Amino acid sequence: MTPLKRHTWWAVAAVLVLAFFLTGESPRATNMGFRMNRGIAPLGPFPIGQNWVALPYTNIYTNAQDICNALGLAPGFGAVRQIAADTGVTFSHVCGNAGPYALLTGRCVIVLNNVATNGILAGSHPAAGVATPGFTLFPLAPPPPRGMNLYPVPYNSAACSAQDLCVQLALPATATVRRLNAFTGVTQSHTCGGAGAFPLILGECVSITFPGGGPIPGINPPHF
Amino acid sequence: MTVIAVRLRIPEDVEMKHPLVRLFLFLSAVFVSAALLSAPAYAQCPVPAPAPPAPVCEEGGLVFGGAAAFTWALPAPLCGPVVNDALAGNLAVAWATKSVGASFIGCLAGEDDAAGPPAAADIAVPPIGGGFWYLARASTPGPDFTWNEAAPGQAIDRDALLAGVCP
Repeated sequence: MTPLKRHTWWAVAAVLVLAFFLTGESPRATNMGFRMNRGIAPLGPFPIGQNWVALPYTNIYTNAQDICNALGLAPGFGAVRQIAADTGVTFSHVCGNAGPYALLTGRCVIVLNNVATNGILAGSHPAAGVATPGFTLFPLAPPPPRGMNLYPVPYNSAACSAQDLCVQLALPATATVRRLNAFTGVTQSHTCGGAGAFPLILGECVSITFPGGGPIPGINPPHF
Repeated sequence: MTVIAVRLRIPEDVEMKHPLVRLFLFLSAVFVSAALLSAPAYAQCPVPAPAPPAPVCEEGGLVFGGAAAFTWALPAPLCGPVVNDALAGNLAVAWATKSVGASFIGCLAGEDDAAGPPAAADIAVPPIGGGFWYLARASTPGPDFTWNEAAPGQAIDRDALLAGVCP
């Protein structure tokens, strides 16, 4: 076989570099950004006023006080909580207090306030193919609330219902998806594969629980 | 099917042969069957548009720096000198339709073939429960590049649905 000449090798290299940039192998992607005006229900008899607020996966909020500020929560009354489903640890911050905890990425924030309020939440969702480890789901285990995955449904999710999430997140048939209406306190529940799945609501989280098995790796679910 | 099953289970005793009892059972079976057949198993998603082709010269990650302003990275250098487009849409409509076409609002101010830095802002306040979505892309004096993403997971072809906007 006749060896390729030097200029031929240069041409091959140039084509490979060009292909690298033009075929999407770089991490660049036209991901979608959002600004949402999120309403907050005031506290009432439990569970009224337990607002399961979804944040965009990539957002401008570093700690719990940032959420207090964004949603106009009352100092001394408003509170922001998050559950680490892998450990069962609940993080909590009363608005205006010192030492707010650093927000957990990919986890719902539970917002409480004494009066109805609202505020703009801004951020973006990663492009397809970008890793989202914060979305990892963990099985139920003691002590509670370990395994209570409060999943912030992406603002551009292609899922319409709880059953869509079961399929897109590859949840086991034993998984249960729940929604809490913070204004009424009414909960809706769906077992994956069963009938009667409820529709998902923009800006809300859902609770995902499943007994046994290992963690379900965080995936970037289908989106528009 | 349910109607037939119910009729076959009627025992041969006097009470069940009474015309009113049989009529009641028959009507009950009809109503139950109708309810089962008409109730959707769960909310149905709109049929998505075809998945997008592999994009060329897509922008980098769009990130917010505050509640109103966001930036993005320019495409790979080999895409050449570019200008920028950025647009907004109605998030509630997009959520309901699982698409971007019907929810498109318009190009952001100064971001239709803008030669400046890749940045935009929107201070409009959406109604409570609503919001806006945003996309950015590179453009050239000739062809525009893409609104699409680089990997599987995007359920619609944004380029097809937003064809002709922010030219």
